[in-house]
Amino acid sequence: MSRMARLIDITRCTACRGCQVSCKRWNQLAGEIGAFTGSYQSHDDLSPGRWTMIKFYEEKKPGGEMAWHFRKATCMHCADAGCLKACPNEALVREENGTIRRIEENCIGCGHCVQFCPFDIPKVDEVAQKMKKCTFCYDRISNGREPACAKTCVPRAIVYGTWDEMAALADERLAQAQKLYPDSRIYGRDELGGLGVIYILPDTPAKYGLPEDPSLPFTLGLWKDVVHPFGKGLIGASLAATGLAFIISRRNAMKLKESAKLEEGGYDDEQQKNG
Amino acid sequence: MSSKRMVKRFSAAVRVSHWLYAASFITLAVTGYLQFGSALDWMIPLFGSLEGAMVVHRVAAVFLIIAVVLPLLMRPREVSAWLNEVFNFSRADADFLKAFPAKFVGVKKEIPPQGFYNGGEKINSLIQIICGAGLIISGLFLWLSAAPPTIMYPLHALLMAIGVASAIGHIYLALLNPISNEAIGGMISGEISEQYMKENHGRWYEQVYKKRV
Repeated sequence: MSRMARLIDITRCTACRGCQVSCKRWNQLAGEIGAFTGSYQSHDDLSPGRWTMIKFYEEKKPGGEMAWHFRKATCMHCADAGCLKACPNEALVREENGTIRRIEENCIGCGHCVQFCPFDIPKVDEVAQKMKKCTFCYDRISNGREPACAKTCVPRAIVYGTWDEMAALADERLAQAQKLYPDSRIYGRDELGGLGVIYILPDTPAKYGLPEDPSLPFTLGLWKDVVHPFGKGLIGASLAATGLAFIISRRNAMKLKESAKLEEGGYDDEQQKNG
Repeated sequence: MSSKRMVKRFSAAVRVSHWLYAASFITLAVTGYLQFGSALDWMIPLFGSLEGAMVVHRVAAVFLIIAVVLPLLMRPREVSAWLNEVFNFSRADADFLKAFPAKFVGVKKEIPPQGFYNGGEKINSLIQIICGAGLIISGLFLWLSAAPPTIMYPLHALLMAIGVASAIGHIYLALLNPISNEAIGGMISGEISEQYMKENHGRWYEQVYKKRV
């Protein structure tokens, strides 16, 4: 199966939050009543039981005019996924169709993935000690269906298909969007090796709470690619050296004992024979 | 052979804290390694699950910190004497290291008179002090901070690897090496024989007996 992706066209999105509901419904996630956030946004952030939501960003323009930005936030299923690299227990795997899938029984809720996600997506359920995030509707898409959010999207702002199709469609959508929003751009096609979500943004990523140039912290590479092999080598070398030294030192000790015995007049059996 | 004359080496408080540190350190190394490599994965059932191992890791961490704080409060003079010695690396200590490879494989070799700690013990002490302090600080960040600086992850792993590699050598020399394992008595009963003291810690021997004369 080739890599699949979602194209999320923010220029078409009406913030109806239908995707938010259909995600909850398909994944059987209980509704959560949140406190008033001060804006149209339904909840503060994603949560272990809320894998996608429309985030609202208010901007006060220099003239005093208000601009309103919103974006569907969800796991990007990155090609170069920080969460997957940070996971100490192989609880995250990349499926052939591009899904970064979590393996329930391997996840211990340690939260390392949380610290290394450039988009702040994984959320840890502290009671169950499990991380939870968007599954890309792995059950649906591996059975030839589209993700629940894409299926329900009325203005066709969420489109599902192969990554190559979506990358090509992005150009088409961009051309349309630029008529209305001249600052439109494609986000996610080149970022982090290509994200599993390609956005058409009407304006700069910063206005939608997205990092301009997402990257994985160098400490992640330092940790997993440098410190881990070096540390394993160091501990292995220490074990090998002491093991070897133990054998040599025992042999030396035996030799000393042997010569001491010979000085005393030979081994036990020899002495018995002699007298 | 006449009965050995024994010399007091470590006070009870220091010995207790050493063994408390040792037990917590080994527990921490094993449970921490489960997140680092897969060679010890067969030990997971001992802790119930990996989550259980992480709980044990934190409990052991508390004991390790106690093992550091306890002698600082109870025997500050002994601790500061140790630190003074360790951070004072002399010519004789460097010369000890030349003879160390032979001693490491169990061959007795003439060494320049050593103080209360020999050059090798000083290096192990230095490594354990630096790694221990770094591990406690980075570990507290990882444990208590909601968003720890990400450098703490590689730092914690690196210091663990260095500390464990050094501890393996320390354990071998104290328990299994036939020419140096007498030193373990100093950490168990608190005493070592005067003979061993004279042979391995000549400068300390002189200091003790000059004072008396």
